[in-house]
Amino acid sequence: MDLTAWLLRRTPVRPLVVTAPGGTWARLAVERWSREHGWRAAHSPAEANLLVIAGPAASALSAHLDLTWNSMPAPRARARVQDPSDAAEALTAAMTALCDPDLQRGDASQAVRSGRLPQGSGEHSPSMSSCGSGMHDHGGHMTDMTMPGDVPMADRGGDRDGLKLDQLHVPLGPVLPDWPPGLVVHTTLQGDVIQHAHVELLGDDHSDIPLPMLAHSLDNATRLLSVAGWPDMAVRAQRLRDEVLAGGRPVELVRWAARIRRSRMLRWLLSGVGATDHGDALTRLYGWLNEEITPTPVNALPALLEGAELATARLVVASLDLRLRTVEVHG
Amino acid sequence: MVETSQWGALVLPALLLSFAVAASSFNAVLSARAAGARADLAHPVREFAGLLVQQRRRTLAADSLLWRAAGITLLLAAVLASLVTPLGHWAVSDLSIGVVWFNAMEVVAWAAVWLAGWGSNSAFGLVGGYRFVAQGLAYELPHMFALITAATAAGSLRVADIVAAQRDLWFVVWMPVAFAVYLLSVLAMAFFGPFDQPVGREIAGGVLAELSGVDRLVFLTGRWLLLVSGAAMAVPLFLGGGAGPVLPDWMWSLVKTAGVLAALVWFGRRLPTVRMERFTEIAWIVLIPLTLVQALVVAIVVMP
Repeated sequence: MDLTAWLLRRTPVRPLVVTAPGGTWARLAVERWSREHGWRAAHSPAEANLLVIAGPAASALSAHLDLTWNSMPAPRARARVQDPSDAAEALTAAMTALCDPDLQRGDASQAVRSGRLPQGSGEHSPSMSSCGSGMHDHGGHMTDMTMPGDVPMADRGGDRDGLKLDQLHVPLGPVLPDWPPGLVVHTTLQGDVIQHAHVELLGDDHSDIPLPMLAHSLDNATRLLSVAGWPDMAVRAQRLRDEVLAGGRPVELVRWAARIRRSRMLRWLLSGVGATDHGDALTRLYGWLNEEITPTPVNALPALLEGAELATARLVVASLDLRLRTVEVHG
Repeated sequence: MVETSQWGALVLPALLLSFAVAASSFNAVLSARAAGARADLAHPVREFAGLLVQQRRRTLAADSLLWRAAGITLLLAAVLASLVTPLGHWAVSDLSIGVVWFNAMEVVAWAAVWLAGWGSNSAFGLVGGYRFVAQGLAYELPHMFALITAATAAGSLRVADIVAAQRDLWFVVWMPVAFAVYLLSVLAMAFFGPFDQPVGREIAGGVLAELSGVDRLVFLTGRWLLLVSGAAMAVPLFLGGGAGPVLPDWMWSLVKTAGVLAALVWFGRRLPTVRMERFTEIAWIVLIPLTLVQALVVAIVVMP
């Protein structure tokens, strides 16, 4: 009996979905298919065994995609879903490839022969040789002292309390769960506090056929609840969204919205996060429950993110309905 | 009261592992129900299979020794903590300082989780590791006061004496605050929801961000075992140990442990993730005074 083949057939599929600009409808189709088949989305390339690219081909993303692919351990497969109607076919084909022992053995042994075991990468820009490994500075001056792996030491700078602390340059996106398509926020971190943020948009075509208002609100809520660490309510929002897109107006919607409004914990956690003239993350979420969406221009991001802790920053981004139009905004 | 048996050391890991698999199955069923997918009881087993065939990874300039050691440390800490947990009237070891031993082993988890974050030389991993340290600062003191309350009532740090002191009245009845705080801190210790910030999805899995294959398997197993060992200890500390009608005492220990574990898994999914920047204040301003008052009340009641 071929043990590897036997184990491979039982491997649960862990998709990492990367949305290209303009790929919202494709992403929705992929998410729906994954959910119905009991696939649980991966949080990082290390966890994933299926890389799904949703949306039209964007050359600006390809370097990031290659980096992500190279940091995924075998067994692994790749699927591109350009159009929502391709989802079922592309994902089924990828699943077959994932369970094919010969294919996967070839992939794995090739990696070993070329001396390139999957290396950490994933969330970081191609300019960094390795991703999660972001202990180095590529903005400031280079010190003579180098770390193992020829990574320069982190630079230091004054922090908000007047101390001199290490600075870390960590790009957020474009391959990150629940993250707007094509968005990269280049951050300078001290500890996990963002000192400086600068926004870059990848790809030129950021237009999408707009979703119906209710589905759009539910999609926004799915993203925010997921980042807020409430997967059960997020997946319920996702189910409601899919039902709405299929043409229904589910009765469950009222109960779900009531539970969100009732949650004192959510109120406590989201109030005061990402406050703008139009309210904070909590008021925006409550607004979505009433199908009220206030778009925010992407150039408002740096000011909202600077001084925020990483977890808060993620909530800020997830709580905004970003208009991804302006390219290259400095904060 | 408690018979010790070295042979139990062979049974203990298997028993803990069975509970971990059952809890993980229950968790998977709850996930599937929320997602409207078919319930898959065998999900943890398939996950196990998947991680066995997955390649290990390495990251640039990783501290490989400490990184790989982290998962094994977590696993060992969880098993060692349970050495003093009685199953009915058997325990692997009946130390005179059982409660302290249990607590000391749990604290080893701090090192393990932080090392997993540090060792990978990854920004998200490191952030996750430090989040766990911050979380530890928030939950550990209330946790210790909850443990001490049970020990105070029995006048002993020996787990067998604590069980014996509950012959007439279970501790959960007259020290509910300590019990509730204990359960909360078990969730925090195993970084299970709503205290799962160290492995948050928003930082790509935090300390888990770079782990794959067998390394991930060991670490995740350690995490489930930690939750199980915390749940199992709640039984002798607050729920009368193996006491109960009809069934033999070891059976009662198992039933009660399963109940506590299921409640923890269910409760952990009901709330959004608590951020430490907000929770630490609650822990220090509300939970510590509450547990102190509870300990004071208990101390006055048992005063000779």
